[in-house]
Amino acid sequence: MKKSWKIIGIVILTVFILGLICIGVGVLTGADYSRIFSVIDDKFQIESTLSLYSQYFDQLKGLILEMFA
Amino acid sequence: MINIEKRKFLAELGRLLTFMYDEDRQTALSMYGEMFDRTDDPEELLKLLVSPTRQAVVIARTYNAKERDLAVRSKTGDGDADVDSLETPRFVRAISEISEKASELFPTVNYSGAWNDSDYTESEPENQDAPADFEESEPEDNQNNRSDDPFSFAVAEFPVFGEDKEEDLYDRAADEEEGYETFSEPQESSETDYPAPSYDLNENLSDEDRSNRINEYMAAFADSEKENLQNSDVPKSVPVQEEIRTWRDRPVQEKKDADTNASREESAGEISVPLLILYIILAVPLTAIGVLLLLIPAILCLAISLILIVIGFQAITTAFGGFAVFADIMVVLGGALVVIAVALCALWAFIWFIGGAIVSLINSAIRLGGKFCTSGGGK
Repeated sequence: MKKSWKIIGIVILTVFILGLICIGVGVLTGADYSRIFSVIDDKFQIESTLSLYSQYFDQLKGLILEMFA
Repeated sequence: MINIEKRKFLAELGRLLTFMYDEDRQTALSMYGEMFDRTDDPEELLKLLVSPTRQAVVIARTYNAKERDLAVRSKTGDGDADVDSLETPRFVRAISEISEKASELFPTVNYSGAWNDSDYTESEPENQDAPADFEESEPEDNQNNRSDDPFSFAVAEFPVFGEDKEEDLYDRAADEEEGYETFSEPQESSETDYPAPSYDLNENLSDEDRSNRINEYMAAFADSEKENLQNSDVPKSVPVQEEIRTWRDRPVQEKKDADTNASREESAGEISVPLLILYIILAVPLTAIGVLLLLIPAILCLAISLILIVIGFQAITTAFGGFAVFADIMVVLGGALVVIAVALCALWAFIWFIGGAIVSLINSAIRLGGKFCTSGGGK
């Protein structure tokens, strides 16, 4: 069991380090964060989804406050 | 004293010879028993024999189970065994050699080599040094017929069987006193494959020298078939003094009585039923609450890991499908790999909660219940 945890830990650490290396390479080669965010937003509608969720939680918060007021 | 030492030795030897066929084991034990019966000085005999383990090694090296299997099968066919087809087993010859050496080393003991036909004389049964039981158990008819009987030397050495009839020499007769079956076969030749001792019998030897020479002699019994020793149940070599101390300190096995079984149960601890019921009433709900409390973070970890895995793989597909600039691809790819690593961590935490924490909690509750509910646990 301990051996399997050790192997899993090594795999996770390897993937994490690889990810950091890729980010480092991208930053060094001149990545533009606004460009990246606009592409992701176009694909997944992150801003609209986030605004919808924030409206939902605001309404929920108002209702709870009215209940206990 | 003799009987106690003999019983201990034979009991231990019998335990070590389980690799042999029953009849062969009984034969070997009876031969060693007779050595003890004939000696006046069991301590010296035990020094010669060293230990049951050493003797078991000697026998194991000379015992071939396959050969004995054929011999046993051929003899059990009918009651009349052909004399010419009988061959002395090697282990019997080895033990008889030891018996001869014992007689040579301890001249006060009067017994000659069991298998040496040429050394046999008619006056031997009248020898005054022979032990009383040796003479008493020998049938008279055999004494009278000995000179004409080609196998009479075997009768002289194993008087407990073979009363009047020649064919009794080849029959196994029960030894009523000792409880062993004895078995005799004529040896075809007095010469054996085993070397003779190189020391002068009249030489005054110190205990250490004698022990060393005995060990050298025993080593000469080594057979080239190492498989017999490796496959046998006989334990490996142990220092001589340790061997003697070990088996002699072991108490003689007595019959088990019911009280020993009862005491064994008492020492394990009786389970108290009222305490058990009380523990179940209290522990089960508490353990269930603990399990539920641990399930919450477990499910949370699982949800987080699944969401992050989905995000990570979506990011990877987007990195190669939605971006044209290499730098942007690398950044998104790197981010995706970091997200997947965190997801694996969360998945690992979920497995630990389920397989480690919850299972440990349940096992601890069971163990605590066992301690609490035994008769001494309430104190």
